[in-house]
Amino acid sequence: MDSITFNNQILILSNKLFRLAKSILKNDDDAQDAVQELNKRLWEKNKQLDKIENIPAFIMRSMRNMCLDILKYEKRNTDLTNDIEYTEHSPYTQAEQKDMYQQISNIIDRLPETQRNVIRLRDVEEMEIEEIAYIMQMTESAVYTNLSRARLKVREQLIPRMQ
Amino acid sequence: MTNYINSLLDKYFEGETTIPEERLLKDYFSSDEVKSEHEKYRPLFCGFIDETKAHMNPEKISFTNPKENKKEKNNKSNKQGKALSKRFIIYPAVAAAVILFFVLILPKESENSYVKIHGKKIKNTEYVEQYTHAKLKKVNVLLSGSLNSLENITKARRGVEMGIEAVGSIRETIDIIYENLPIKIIRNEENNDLSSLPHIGGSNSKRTNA
Repeated sequence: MDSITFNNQILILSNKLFRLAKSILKNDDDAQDAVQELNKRLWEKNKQLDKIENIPAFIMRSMRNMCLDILKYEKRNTDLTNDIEYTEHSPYTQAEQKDMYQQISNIIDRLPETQRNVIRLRDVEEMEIEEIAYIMQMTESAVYTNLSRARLKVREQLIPRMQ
Repeated sequence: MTNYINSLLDKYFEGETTIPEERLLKDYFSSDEVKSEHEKYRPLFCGFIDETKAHMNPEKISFTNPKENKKEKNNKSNKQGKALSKRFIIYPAVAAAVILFFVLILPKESENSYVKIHGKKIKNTEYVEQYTHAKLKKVNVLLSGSLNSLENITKARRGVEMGIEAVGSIRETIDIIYENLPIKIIRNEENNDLSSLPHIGGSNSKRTNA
């Protein structure tokens, strides 16, 4: 893969990768660093990329794996398991969440890692269930289940605030 | 329309909607035609739309042209490399060459060196030295003999030169005698032929008179 193809097929995904990385790392700077690092690694192995069928899905999956490794390394994976339940905002934090984007974003950020990424990959990035299953390394039925749970949880948290 | 949106919302929360259906919901909730009963869902779908606007800092996507990055890196590394090459490449290479010369080449030369005497390869250094010494002595003797003969030649040359000088003085005395004679004699100087000279004495004079 030459530099032009690399730009057209991979660097064009930078914003998507950034949003996924931010969803996992919950930090803009860390997410940007992770995307840069992934792009660098991909360029180093650019010759092997031609063999991959679905490059966007492969790269999104690589991004997720890298972010999980980062969390593992930094021991910040406090909410990586699906067992962790949503915790209520503190009044101080709630006061800060003024705009719509922040409210929704904060609710999603409090979901378990799998649900959080499944709902973002679907509702923000508009990816097919098959692609999400590949990226998240799970079955399609598991994606459906996690997606439904995530949406219902968001609704549960959102509606009381709107009423 | 309201019922259709309601059914879509039910499907959506069950995780059963397709992407086009979800886009339709987003379009609906981002429009001004949202029914009051649906207003509570507006932040959800508009929140997703807002999230799509989150993007990388363009300056951080400095990897946009890997070739340029590579060139920059190459230029930097070339400059540094040139400075470092003398220290870390040339000097060790020279040192390695010197070590190799002493370690590998010199011993080989000493092991493989030999002298040919009468067509035979001789590696015994002591024998070669003695042989060479004897030959040099012979050369010395021959040279001393030839020097003696040279001395003889110079001696002979000196004798010849002395003889030439003596001849010169004889001629001068003859010339003086001729000048002081009472009778002038024509002298054949070119041939130095004295046969034409008149005999001094009675017999010769008598012959001329007769």
